[in-house]
Amino acid sequence: MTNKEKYKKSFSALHTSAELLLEVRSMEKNKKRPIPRWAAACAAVVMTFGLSLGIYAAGKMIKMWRHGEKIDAVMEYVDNGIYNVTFKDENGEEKTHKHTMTVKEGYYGEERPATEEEFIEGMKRPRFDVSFKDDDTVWVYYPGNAIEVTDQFDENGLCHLTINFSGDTYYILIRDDGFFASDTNDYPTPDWFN
Amino acid sequence: MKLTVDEAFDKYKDRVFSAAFSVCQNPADADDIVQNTFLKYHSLDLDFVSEIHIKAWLIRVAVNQAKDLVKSFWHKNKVTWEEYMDELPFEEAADSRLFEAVMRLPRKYRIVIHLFYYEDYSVSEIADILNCREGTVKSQLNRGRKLLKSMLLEEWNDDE
Repeated sequence: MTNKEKYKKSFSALHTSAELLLEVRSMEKNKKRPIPRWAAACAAVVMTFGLSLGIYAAGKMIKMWRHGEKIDAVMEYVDNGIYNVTFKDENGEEKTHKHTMTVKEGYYGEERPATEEEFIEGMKRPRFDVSFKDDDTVWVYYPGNAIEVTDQFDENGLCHLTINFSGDTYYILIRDDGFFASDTNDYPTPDWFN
Repeated sequence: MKLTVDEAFDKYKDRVFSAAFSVCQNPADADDIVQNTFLKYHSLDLDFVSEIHIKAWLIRVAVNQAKDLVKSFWHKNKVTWEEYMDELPFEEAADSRLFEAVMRLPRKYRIVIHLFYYEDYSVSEIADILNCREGTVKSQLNRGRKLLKSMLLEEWNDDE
């Protein structure tokens, strides 16, 4: 059997649902447009996340990288260079994380809080994120990749990781209580988290 | 020419479903995409040269909708493809192994592999559907094939 024959045989097991068949047939008969499943789900989501509507209405939609993939999120200004970012995780649960972003400028590389535009641009750029999972493993994600670092923490609860990605070298510092930071020049120092 | 929605649905519903599923890996989302695709077919007054063009249009619309869905805020994994796979009526164990291997491919390889092996599209036709360069399609096909070979070993023939 050729690969094409094998592939077609395997995927011939897939069929769309019979319920959908009836809905589509009714389009021609009754000239009506069935409501897609997602529209009904939207109403439930609106009720469930009623409180969040306020945030969505006040916040700004952005794109961000999470666990190696680009997703939609909503940002809300908290303080200079500090923003709350709300998104839906893999289980569809709403999560809000606080992000702090600074920009180095000047001859001596002085740091200042990122503006809103700089924050939005920064969040769009491929970045790293760290996940402390329920099974006590720790993972570092960046576009298309995932690395387990569970056993790489030292006696001070710090993990230092170097990653080469897209032509740059990234120095990542992770603290075992969930904080992490990255830089392209050198490892961030632990007091960065204070 | 144009087929009625009924005719087009009867002929191509499962092909559209498979194309959407190869991208979104979720049967409920793939069903929604099938519905939306045929809704669009019904509402747009397009004239096609032949049935081949109708099928290509349906699959292009479905693949693009699926790609948008997996990137969207509202995409959720209601049933995983592994759970869905347990319900599928594969004739032999080799069929389910092949299905699983394809599902484990990175999405960009999975789409071109599906369009090549299931829909018999050429590299240039796939490039047209996905709106990308032929070189990109060739390289994704080659990488997808290599990954399938590494997963399936003798169950996947060389150089096809």
